[in-house]
Parts: sequence; structure tokens; C-alpha cells
Amino acid sequence: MKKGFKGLKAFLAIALSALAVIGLAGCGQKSSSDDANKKVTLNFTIWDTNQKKGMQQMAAAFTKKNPNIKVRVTVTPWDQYWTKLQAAASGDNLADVFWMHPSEVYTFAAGDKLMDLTDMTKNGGGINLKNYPSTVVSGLEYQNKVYALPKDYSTLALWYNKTLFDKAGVKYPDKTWTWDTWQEAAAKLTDKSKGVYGMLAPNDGQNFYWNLIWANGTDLTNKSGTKSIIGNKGNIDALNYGISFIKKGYSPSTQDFANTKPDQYFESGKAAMTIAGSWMPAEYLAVKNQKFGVAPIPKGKRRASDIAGMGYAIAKNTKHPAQAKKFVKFMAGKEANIIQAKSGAAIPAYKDTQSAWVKQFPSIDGQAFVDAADYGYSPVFTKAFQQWNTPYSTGIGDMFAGKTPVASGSKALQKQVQAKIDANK
Amino acid sequence: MSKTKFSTGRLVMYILLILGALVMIIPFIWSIVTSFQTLDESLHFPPKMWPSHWDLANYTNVWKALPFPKFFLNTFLMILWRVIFATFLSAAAGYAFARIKFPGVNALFMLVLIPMMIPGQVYTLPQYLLMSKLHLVNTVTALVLPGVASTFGTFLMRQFFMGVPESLEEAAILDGASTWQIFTKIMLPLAKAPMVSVAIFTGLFAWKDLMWPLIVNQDPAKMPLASGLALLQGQYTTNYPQLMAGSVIATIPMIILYVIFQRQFIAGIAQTGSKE
Amino acid sequence: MKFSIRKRDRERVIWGLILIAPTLLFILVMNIWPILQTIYLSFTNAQSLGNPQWVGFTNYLAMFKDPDIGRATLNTFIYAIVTVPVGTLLSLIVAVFLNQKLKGRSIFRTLYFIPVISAPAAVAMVWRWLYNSKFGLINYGLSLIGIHGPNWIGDSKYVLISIMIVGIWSGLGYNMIILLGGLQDVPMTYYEAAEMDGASKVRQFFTITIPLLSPTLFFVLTTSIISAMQIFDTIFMMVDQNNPALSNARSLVYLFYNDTFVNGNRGYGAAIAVFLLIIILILTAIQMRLQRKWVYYGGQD
Repeated sequence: MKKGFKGLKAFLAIALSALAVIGLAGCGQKSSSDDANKKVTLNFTIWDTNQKKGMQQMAAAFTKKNPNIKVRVTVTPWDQYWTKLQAAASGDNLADVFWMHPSEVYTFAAGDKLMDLTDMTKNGGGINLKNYPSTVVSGLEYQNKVYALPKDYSTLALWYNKTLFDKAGVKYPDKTWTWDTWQEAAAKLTDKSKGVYGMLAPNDGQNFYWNLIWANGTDLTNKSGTKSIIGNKGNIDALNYGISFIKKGYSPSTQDFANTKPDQYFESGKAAMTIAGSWMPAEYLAVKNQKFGVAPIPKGKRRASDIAGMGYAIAKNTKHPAQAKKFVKFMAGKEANIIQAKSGAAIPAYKDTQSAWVKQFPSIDGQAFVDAADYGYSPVFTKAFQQWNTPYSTGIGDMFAGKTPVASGSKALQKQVQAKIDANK
Repeated sequence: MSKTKFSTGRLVMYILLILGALVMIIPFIWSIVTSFQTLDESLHFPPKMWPSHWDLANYTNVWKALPFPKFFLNTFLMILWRVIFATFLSAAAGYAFARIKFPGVNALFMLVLIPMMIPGQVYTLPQYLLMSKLHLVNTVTALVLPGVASTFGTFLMRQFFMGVPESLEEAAILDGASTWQIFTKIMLPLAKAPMVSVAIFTGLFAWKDLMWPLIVNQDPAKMPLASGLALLQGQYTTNYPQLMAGSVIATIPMIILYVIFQRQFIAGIAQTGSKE
Repeated sequence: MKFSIRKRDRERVIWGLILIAPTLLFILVMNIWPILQTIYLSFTNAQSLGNPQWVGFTNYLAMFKDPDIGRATLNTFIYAIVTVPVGTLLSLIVAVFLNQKLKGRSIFRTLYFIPVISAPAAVAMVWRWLYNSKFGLINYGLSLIGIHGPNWIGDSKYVLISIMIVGIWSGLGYNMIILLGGLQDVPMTYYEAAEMDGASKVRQFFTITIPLLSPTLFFVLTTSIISAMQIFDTIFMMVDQNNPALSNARSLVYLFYNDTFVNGNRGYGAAIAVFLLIIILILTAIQMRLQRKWVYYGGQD
């Protein structure tokens, strides 16, 4: 028997060392008590690598004023960010401070993982919410409590290709444009023989049809997000208008977009106009053989653009609540927003700090994006929104592809969406 | 007669192999070409398959932007430990599953296979919570642990050992060798080729694993290559020339390793040739 | 004598358990425990965060009424039924070619391995370009021989075929390596003997290569089916959210991913994952049974 297990020791050694690896470096985390004068390092997680530098500059400015508080900025890419945040929240390992998006505020606030910052925005708290676009502010609230302080916003505008406009002899878009001028121009700019389209009408809410629906004086739901109104006349007319660009041949079809993305059409000079966001200048303006311009999205019954704000949130269980609050207060303040503006990566949320951002891109009218905050709209992000947005987008997609008629399709879709909303009350 | 027939057959084979190889490498070629382009050039559609000039700027920029030596070190450690453990533990378990009969062995084997049958995303959250309880978040150990045992490797090794003639083992049993001795002295030396396969695959899966390191670690200094490169993806826009320069830097060592392991493979042929 | 055989058997069984133990232990902790949690979640209304509530079979009942699930199950099966045999056959052919003594063998082996290590972003970019209905190389090639190529990824009739091609393409390198490894175990002497008997190459392939390779082939088939049933990455890369052909491309894992991570319905997502697990488990069990009919294990004769 004994002889039979001669190699056991050797084998156990291999097997156990596998377990022993666990022991390595397992004790790297120290907890420190919260003392206002103690030196602490705050962990600050963001999702956009293009903004890391700007965030570091802002954090450095903060540390200069508060030498006891250092800030470490780390990036988790957007594609993994929310999974990571969910994991970290479940394990109570959240970074002290992190970026928060309105579409996720519900999840994390209802899950009791975010610090309630309402006090900071009340009298004497140091933050006046009037300094930020109201849509951005309301996106960061849940059940009338503030869970993140505004950081930046992004809006959309009409991007156009000056080279193609010049060739077709069409006047550049401006504030006077209406839905009629828009479509007339698209007709003139379309040149089938060269494969040039006048306008891009993708089946995409934020980058296209939401803007039309809002401009047409209506919305996706009522204000509280409890009632879907996507079957009303305003929605149907707006969609019909948007889809008419495809029907008349001024825009590639939905099938074409499955092959070639809107950005690819626009950047390669195959499309004269597109609706695109304030996050695009860095990429679009890198294209050297095309000249691009920016104008507000043409006016419907009213002017409208999607606005997506975001903010700084604090983990509820942070070990350094006082320091974290101090930090987000600074980040949401004027000084930090000016630094943010200069970094050029995003439009700062604080009022009248945007001019430095606009100056980053002298060849386009960046002010159009800043002004769009005054007429910015956003879907009402509720728990139900996550549930109905997918079937809604699919339904609209079928209309864009010509599979279902807009009028009857919208009415049917409204029932479907309402059912999802009711199921999530 | 037969000789000419033979060589036309060869010619056809060569042509097919070359055509196939071309299809295989287009994306890789595209990454190399893109890595030398300017952002402007890379935005052209349809893509240009040639850069206007061979500029190393993307390589120097990406090298400066990310801590590559750290990435390489972490990748190396992650692959090394996973390969060592997975290869030997798989060989051990594979041998036992193939050769030792006891009640319930097939059920146990099915249990080992089950982890392959569910989407890998299912593991992320529970494994993270485990690492968090063990205080291993943000360590290289956390990168290694989920890959220590290999379902895939165990299965492959079992298949191999099932095919080894029983006569080899019987002689040793008659000589009074213990099971451990049979495993280490007779079976493991025979299993070089499949163990190289398991090593290649374990290494490959570790190298490709992007999600897990990003979830369990935060610090770029604790990231392996694939996840480190993901840090180049912006929320809306990505600088593809830089990303491609980064991925070429990450891929070349893998190709070199693979070529070295290839030799091991071929060395394996000579050995098995003499085994019977 | 009898006693000693018993003792011998006991020694072997104990050793067997010891050899399996570390792998089993790690798999139980790292994988089986999470799977049990998933099974539990599938009976709850779990969201991204917060305490899940037990809802019994609600998720499963909803799933069987969900037309998207039906469609995705069908897509998944079609994908597996086509890509597994075609992919295995192609990799077998390449492996046999590359197992011969030929010039540039290791270069070819490397080139066929390249897709496995190519950057996913590059793979997506290039295939989307190849498939592009207007500017793509495939339709350009077809136009040269007078065929008007289809809209490969925008047309619901073609989208799944396009995904299958990429799937086969990206799996070829993996299977080739494993089959090459298996071919190493086929002794050259068998071929030499067959050659002397005047057996043709094709005959040698069927009488020597296939039987001796069958344990490896079984491995490749089983793992290919398991991974084909979990197709996700390729679809995610090639087919955008707003592609009109999306519903003809979505797989079960795609829906699992969408529900778990996009819509925040972890309970429902878990039910999809468990449903898939059951399907794959049945398929694997069937294969385990069928292997007795065709897999030749040298160790058992």
C-alpha cells in the first residue's frame, strides 16, 4: 500500500501549489480610517480613454488645493464598464468616485449603491443646480434625490460636407433651415451616378429619429415615463418624414447601412449631410480631403436635439465620504469645468464654461452643439425604458426597412411598449 | 507515370493551400497596413490596402501611451501559470478518466465537461465575488486562478489516453509499478504532442481573455495585453491605426511562441514514430 | 492472488481520485458553483442589482411564449448543423495536407493559425468590408463572372450564411492544431505497410487515418458542437443593432447577452442560459453514446 503512493507527495506538491497561488499578494489592501487631515488616495473610474488626460488635469488641480487628497484615475472601457460596475457594486468594491450615465442611475440608485448627494445641492451645499442644463440634472436624479453631479453633456447637430455643397451649388445649412429646405437640399445634393447621397437617415434613435420626434412637438412617453405616446400623430409624421429620405432615394437604405456605417459614408465623402454628435469632431476633422461644417438640426415645429448628460457619482460605502464629496464638488465646479473644456473631449456641463471647448475646433461652428442644450430632450430613463427600448427599436427598424407601414405599425408598437411599461411598474 | 500524377496532385494541393492561406491572413495583413496609416487614411472607405508612407508614429505613440513592458510581464505570468497548471492537471485527470474504472467515473467526467456548455459570461460575476472575498481583486493571481483547471484540456488528454494501447500499461503492472509510476514514467512521456496542444490552447485562451482582467483588475499595471489594448477603445471613436499598432505588438510574440511550439510538434512525430 | 488484485484495484481507484481531485476541485469552485447560482437566478426576477425574488417557472413560461427565443433556437441549430460538419471536414483536409512532408510546412501551419490570433476588431473590419454589397471584394469577384452579388449581411436570406462562413473561417485554425496533434499519434509504419500492399492514398485515409484519428475527431466534433451552439461573437461583430436582418441572425447566447447585460433582466437571461445548457447536455450525451459505434480506442481492444 505504502509503496503504491510513492508519488503522492510529488503530485500533491503540484496540486497544492496551485492552491497556494491564492495566498500570494492576497494582503495588498489596507483600510484606513477616515480622518479629514489624513493623506488619502481616491480611486476614480471613468469609461472614456480619450478623456483620461483631461480628468487627470482636473484631479491635479484639485490635489493642488487639497494636498492630502490624491486622486487616481483609471479607465474601464465602455463595453465592460457596466458589467464591471455591477460586479464591483455586488462585491462592495466600487471605486470611491466614478462616472455615471443617466440610463444607469436607476439601477445603481435603486440598488442602494450610490451616495445621496441631495444635501450638496441644497442651500449652502455648494452646488447650484441652476448652473447646469435642466435635462442633464434631471437625468441624474432618482425619486427626487440627486445621485450624481453634472459632468458634461453631448448634443447633436447637422454635419455637412462643404465640398459636396459647393459642387452642387447649394447654400450651406443655417438657422433658417426647416424640414422643407432640408429635403429640397437633400434632393439637389443626391448624385446617384457618383454614389453620393444628400442625407443619411439611419434607423437610429439618438442619431436620427428621436430628434425628429421631439422637433415635431411630441415625445416618446409622457413626462413621468409611465405612458407611451409613440402611436400619436406627431410620432407618425416625424417617422414618415425621416423615412421619406430613404423612400425618395436621398439616403442609403437600412440594408445599405448594414454594410456601410453612416460614419463611413460621411467620412468618405459619399453623403452630404448627417446628424451626428458633439463627440465626433476629433474623428471627422481628421479627414483631410473633405471639408465639414456644422449647423443646428433644421427646425420642425420647434427646435430639438437629443441631449445626453452624465455625472460624477460616489460609492455609498466609500471609506472616504468627506474627501469624495469634496472632490466631486470641485469636479462639478466652474474651475474644473474650464479645464475640462480646454481638453476638448466633452462639452462641460457648467454654464458659460463652454467657449474653450468651442475654440478647440475652429473650422466648425461648435457653438451649435452648445446652444443645443437649450432645446435638448432625452428619453425618460426608467427601469421600464431598458425593457421597452429594444422592442421599440426593432419595431422602428421594420418601418425603416419598409416591412411594416408607419401608421399602423406605430399604433401596434405603442401597445407593445405600454405592456412593457405596465409590467415594470 | 505514377510520378507525374503524383506531382500534379501536389501542385493542386499547393495551390489550394496557398489560396486558403491568403484568405486566412487578410485581417492580419490589414492590421499591419492600418498600423502604419494616419487616422485620416484609416477612415477611408472602402479601405486602402497600402499606407501612403511607412510611418512608425503609431507604434511609438502607442508604446508611450500604454505600459507595454508591464502588459507583457502580466501576460507572461498569466500564461505561464495557467499553462503549467492546466497542462499537468489535465494530463493527470485525463489519464484517470481514460484508464481508471470506478463507479460514477462517467458522471464525474460529464461534470467536468459542463462548464463548457454555458456562456462564459455566466462566470464573471460569481468569480469576481470569490476573488473579492479572497482579497485578490487587482492582483495577477486573480488573472491566473480561473484558468488553473481546464475542461478543454482534460477532455483532450482523456481522448489521447483512451487511444494508448493497454499492453503498455499491463507490462508495467506485472512489474509491480504503482499507478503513479505508470502515469509519470510511461504515460506522460507518450503524451508530449497532446500536452503541447493543451499548452498552446491554454496559452491562447489566456492571451485572448479580455473581459475577465478588465473586470477583476483596475490598475493598467495589472493588466495583460488584450485587456490593456482595450483601453485604447474610446466610448464613441477609436483610433484604429493606434489600436492596430498595439495589437501587432501584442501578436508578434504569440506567433514566435507558436512557431517554437510547432518545432515541438514535429519533434513529437519522430518520437511517436519509434513508439510502436 | 484475488486479494492482491483487489488491493491493486483499490490502489488504482484511490490514485484515480487523487489525480482527478485538483481539476475537479477548481471546476467545482470556479464553474459549477456559478452554474448553480445561474440555475437559481433563472427562477427569480433578478435585475442587475438588488435582491432577487423567487418567481417559480415564470421565466421559463415566458421564454416558451417568446417568438424571439424560437427564432434564435432555430438560428442556433441551423448554424451548428452547417458549420460543424463543414468546419471539421475542412480542418481535417488542411491537417492531413499539413501533416505530409512538404516544402514550407511550418509556414503554412503558421498561416492557417493566424486567424486565431488576429485582433477581433481587424477580423470584423475586414469581413464587413469583404461582404460589403457595394464596395466588397466578394461581390466584385462575382461581378467579374456576371453574377450580381447579394447583400450579404443586410439581407435576411443571406445573413446567417455570411456568419457561418466567418465562423468556419475563424474555427479552422483551432481544429487544425488539434487534428495535427492527433495525427502525430498515427504511426508512420502503418502507412509504410499499406503502401507496400499497394493501398491508394484515399484508401489509406479511410482505413488508417480515420480510425486511428477517431478519438481526436470525436473531441473536435464534440467541442465544435458545444461552441457552435454558443455562437455569439461573430454575430455581435458583424450584425449591428439596427441591421434589418438581425432577427435572422440572433442566436440564443445573443439573447442571453442582451437580456443579462443590456436589458438588465438577469433572471430571464439565466433561464435562457439554462435552456441552452440543457440542449447542449443532451447533444453531448447523445454523442457520448454514439461514439461507441464509430470511435476506435486503441486502449480498449
